[in-house]
Amino acid sequence: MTMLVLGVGHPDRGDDAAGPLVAAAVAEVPGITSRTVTADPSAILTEPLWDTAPRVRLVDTVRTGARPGTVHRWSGARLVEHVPATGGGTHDLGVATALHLAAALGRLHDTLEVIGIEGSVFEIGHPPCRPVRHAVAMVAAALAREADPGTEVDALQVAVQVRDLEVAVPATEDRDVRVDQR
Amino acid sequence: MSHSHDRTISVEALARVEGEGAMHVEVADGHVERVELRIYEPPRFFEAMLRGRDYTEPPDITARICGICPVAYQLSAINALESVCGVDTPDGPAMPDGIRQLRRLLYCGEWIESHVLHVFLLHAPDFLGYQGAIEMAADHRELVEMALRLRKAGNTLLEVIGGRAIHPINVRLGGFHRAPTPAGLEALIPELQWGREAAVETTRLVAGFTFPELTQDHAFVALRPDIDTLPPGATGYPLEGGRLVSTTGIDAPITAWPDHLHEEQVPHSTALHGRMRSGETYLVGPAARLALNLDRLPDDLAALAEEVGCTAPVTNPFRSIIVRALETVYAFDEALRLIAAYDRPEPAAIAVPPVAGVGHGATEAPRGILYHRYGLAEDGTITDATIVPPTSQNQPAIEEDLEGFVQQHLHLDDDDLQWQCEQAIRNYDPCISCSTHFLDLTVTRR
Repeated sequence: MTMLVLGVGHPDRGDDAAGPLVAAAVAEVPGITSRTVTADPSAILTEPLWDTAPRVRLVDTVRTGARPGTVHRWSGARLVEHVPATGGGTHDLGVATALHLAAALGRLHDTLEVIGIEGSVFEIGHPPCRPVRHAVAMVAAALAREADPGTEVDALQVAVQVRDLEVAVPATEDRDVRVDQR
Repeated sequence: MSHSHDRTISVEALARVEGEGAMHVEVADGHVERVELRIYEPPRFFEAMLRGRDYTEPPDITARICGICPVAYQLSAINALESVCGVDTPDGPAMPDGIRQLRRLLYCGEWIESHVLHVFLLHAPDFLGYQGAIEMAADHRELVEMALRLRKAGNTLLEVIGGRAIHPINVRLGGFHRAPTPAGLEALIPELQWGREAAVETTRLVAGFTFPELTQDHAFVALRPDIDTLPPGATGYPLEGGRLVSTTGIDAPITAWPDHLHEEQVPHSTALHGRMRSGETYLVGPAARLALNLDRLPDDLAALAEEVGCTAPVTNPFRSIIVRALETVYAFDEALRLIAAYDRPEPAAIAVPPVAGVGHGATEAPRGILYHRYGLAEDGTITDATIVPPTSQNQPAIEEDLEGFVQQHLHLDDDDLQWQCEQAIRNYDPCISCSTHFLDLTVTRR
């Protein structure tokens, strides 16, 4: 196993499904162990592989004001500067708070990369919007290639997987997708 | 900083409680004139939403009221609906004990995850002098790591029985969609055994905190299971049902709730306020449960309660953190006992045909009694629904406590006074989302 992929989000809540969709899309890729986190994001810190996986990728839907489908990537020691912890704490610890806790506990590893997919639609029962579905396919393909460079995986293949898993509408357009490396 | 006799303090938000709201304090000539917890979020209309729905739907619909105590909503709804339908009456279907015990086991998981979240991550930073759990983690790593592991133990129990930790999907009227296998539950035992010992350690740790002086004399109200209904080996500390009892002498079936307790509208809050019919404020929650059920603890836990000074009623709300920790031990203890005695119910649910009438049900949510009442038509259509969450019941008592607390601490500057008020509110682990929501603070000193 070379990579732990944590897909955070609610599978039935519009674009919030991006994390679980990526986790599902890469579940069978050699070298990847994927987990879906639909509740209690602090559970990422009790995931046994969090501290031992050579690489950890956490995929979640984000809202930064960018265009839907924009892919953000944060890593390194300054990661938590990009994900402010929420002040009012309610009902659970969010992903940002979990990451800040990890930093405070000395468990925010150099191998962690947070991949945020910009979302815009979060209604229960709504499918992810097309730019997000396509971003999911692009991210999943990128993770598969990263984990196993010899594997023939392209975004179109993964897009088909994603469609089969959750989404009735094929994701075919890539012109709305922009990858920001931060 | 202000030390004048007339002053105003405004706080934008209270951290480390469940939900959002505001508090307003008026001080004139050095005396607190008024304290209001302003719950300003819009009403959520769940009760109206339930009218006209099928009687099988409330467990799933009302679970959505709260992300931290969905099991309480599911089981209170089920108690009320099964009561209407005559379950366990001479003419109605009999509920197998295995299903009852599985419900209790599910509830243990909810108590663990909710109590651990509050004790370690919301409340402990107050006593250890930190703004929050993140700041506390740097200096108390072992404590936070323990909290995360304890919560996982509770959530895993919820997942195995309920299908998922938040808003479980395996609960239905009459029982469960599917009962877990004995092997599935037995696999949890090692972590639950660790959790029990960790919770004992936690109880001793929090009992050593320094607590501000504050004594309240509100009536305590809790559930208390009828001793005749307990299965062998059970001591009957209240979780999934019981009679309504109080320190003022109430001892009645839950059907008598409206005779003793009621809710009233107040101008400053979208949540109703609970009071006794006599007009008195009252408190529900861990301190009330323990005061009215101390004899229902197993012997070793009763000894622990004595060791940490909780055998007499806990009337200083700051000390509620000890009771919550003690109840966490109980939840682990009870989970282990129930798993050891587990006999997989087959089928996992019984048929519960609809019956026209009115039914009452209540369970002990982590924050206190959660009461449901439903009216059903002959075809099972819901004609009326009433839901009384614990925070609504506690709200008038919290306001009274704060009035006394602020009066005692008027010498503090505004920032310190706000900080202390927020701590005082956290003592009650309020869930504003349930009641309906919470906290900006405004203090007017004239």
